Amino acid sequence: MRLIANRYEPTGNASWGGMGELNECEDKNLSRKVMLKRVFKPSDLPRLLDEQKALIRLRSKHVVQLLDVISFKWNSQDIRCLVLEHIPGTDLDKLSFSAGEEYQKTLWQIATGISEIHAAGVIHRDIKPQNIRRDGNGIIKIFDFGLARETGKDDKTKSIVGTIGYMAPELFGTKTISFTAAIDTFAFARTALALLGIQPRNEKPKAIPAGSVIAAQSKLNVEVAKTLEACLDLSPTGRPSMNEVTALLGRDLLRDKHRARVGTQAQAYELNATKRTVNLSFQSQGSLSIRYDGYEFKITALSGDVYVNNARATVGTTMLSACVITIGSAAPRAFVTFDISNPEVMA
Amino acid sequence: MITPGTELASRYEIVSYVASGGMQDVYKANDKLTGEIVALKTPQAGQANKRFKQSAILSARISNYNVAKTFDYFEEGNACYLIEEYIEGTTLEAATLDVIPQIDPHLAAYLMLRIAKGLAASHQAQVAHRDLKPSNILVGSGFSSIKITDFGIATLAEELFEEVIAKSGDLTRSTSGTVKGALPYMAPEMMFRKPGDHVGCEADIWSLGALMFRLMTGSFPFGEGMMVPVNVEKKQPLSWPSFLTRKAQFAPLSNSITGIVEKCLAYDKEQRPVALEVVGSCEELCFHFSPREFGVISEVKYSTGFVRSSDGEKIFYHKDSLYGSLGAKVGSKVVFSAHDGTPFPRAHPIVVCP
Repeated sequence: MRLIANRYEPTGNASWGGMGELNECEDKNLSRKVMLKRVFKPSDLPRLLDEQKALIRLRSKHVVQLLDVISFKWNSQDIRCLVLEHIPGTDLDKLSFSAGEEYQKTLWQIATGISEIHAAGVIHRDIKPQNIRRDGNGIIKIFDFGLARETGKDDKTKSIVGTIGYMAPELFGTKTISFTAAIDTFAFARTALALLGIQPRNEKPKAIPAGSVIAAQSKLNVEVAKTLEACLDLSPTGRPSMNEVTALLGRDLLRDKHRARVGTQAQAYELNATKRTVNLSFQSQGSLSIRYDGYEFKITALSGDVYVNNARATVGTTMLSACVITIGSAAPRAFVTFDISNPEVMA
Repeated sequence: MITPGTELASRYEIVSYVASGGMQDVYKANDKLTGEIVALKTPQAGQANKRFKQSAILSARISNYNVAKTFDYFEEGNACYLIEEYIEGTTLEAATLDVIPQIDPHLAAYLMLRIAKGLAASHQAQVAHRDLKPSNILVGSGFSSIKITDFGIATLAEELFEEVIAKSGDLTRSTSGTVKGALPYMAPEMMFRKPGDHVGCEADIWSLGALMFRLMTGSFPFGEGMMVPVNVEKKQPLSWPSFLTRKAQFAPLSNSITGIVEKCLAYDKEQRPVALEVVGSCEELCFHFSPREFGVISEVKYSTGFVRSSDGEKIFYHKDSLYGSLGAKVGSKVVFSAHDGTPFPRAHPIVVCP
């Protein structure tokens, strides 16, 4: 078989969408599979270029990677293809989830991907479970940037484009519409609910009463449910940024995963989810209690002279890692070291 | 030497020559399709192109934040080229051993976690590095990013290794510079392997242990040169310097890390943890990482002192935060992390450099 661009060999596997096709090929240079994407009609070429423009700006673990752009002749036809990373895995519309850590990790990865897309100045415009895939290593990848636009540059539309059900209310109308990255935030929340089996209706979205997400999904973390509701705000400015959404989901995934090591001259203590509090005192110079609330280590009680890194501590002070607690304002004083672990959201 | 301005594969324009890795030349190039700066690698004359391609295929299978990503591979004329993620910075060797006598346990914990994460992803893709050492790890400024590179190097060296084994029985009698440079970090099953022996991912865990020992102590765990195989074979116990545990602020973390390092350096490869287990152990460590900066000691009192940072700021330190083999004198060069403090920012940890 003839190689395309001197390196890509079609495997014969292909899929067709509304306006183009995806051909699976073997890249002979790196012995790996890639996907060649092209459009059929010359009038759809701008969409391919929009996708190319968006993907070139993006280098995210959670976004399909553009590897190459090739132009060649095939049966005397001029063909232009994007060469995309091949991602073996399952699209999210084929998977079912229930509220819990696995689900929340998935949301965190999707949110991280969308945050990185927005940070690169791109609006995806078609976030939905069918455009998100979980690969063999459990990594979430967002693809199909055929509708993507550059923030602040070509973020206006005259026609209704996107997928109804995931489209934010501001996209419905007959006049020219300006839109922002907040349309992806809306689609993210609709996607999050669809993964739990709450499919969107095919109509212009209406306001949802506060508390309805948690009412429908009682096992969902309350904070996560509230965030999803905020993402569905009918007003684009009322929705949180995807950065905020990612931070909140990540914070909750790390709840109760930290440890702290407290060291005195005489003894070492460990604080964690099963042992949350330590009480420290030195002679009559002072005393304090530190408690782990699942997110941070905080001073909850204090008497006498207590300093953290030489600054006077008070009740409510949040402990920083690698600091020294001093009990007493003059000798004899006690020094206590305090170090916190660094759990990371797996992905 | 490729002249700057040369365009390869109608896509990559050479910007400048970066370094020679002993077996390959590295250039900085501009990817004209994406507008991104990339690293372009090409084997030096006399190196086998087939193995170079094989190494590119292997490294392209790995996708992880702690591994320099392989983007492309192509052949043009009689030469072959690999395109890799470009990291603005230096090697771990240059960032630590060249300037710091030994790293503090907080930095050690941070580095070990990141390197282990990169190894875990590689091993999951069934790719072993087999020549992991500080010069094959790239670091961004202030240790902001840590990326393992040169998965190809071991494959390139394979031919050399095979020749040496065929000639002298095993690798330990070689006079080759490449073999000698690799020996201090080399697993016993690699060092003493016989023709046809398979060396797997466990060898990387040994190398991780050996490189951590080197960074934390400034010395090689089993010495240098021809002493390495001798000491490795007689299973000489590791001797950790006393400064690791001399201070209460550092002792618990030091002890936890040396425990992990010792497990990595188990002679029997079956006894070593797998990379994912090392990641798990490192995530349980209580450590703090913030970028390191350099300065000079400006004042020394009985238990405290001051540092003048490279941008002129006055920074306080307590002797309990002073870590390492060298003592502090006025004029000593130091590396430290600065934290908020009153009335002066506080240095912790602080390590005196030679």
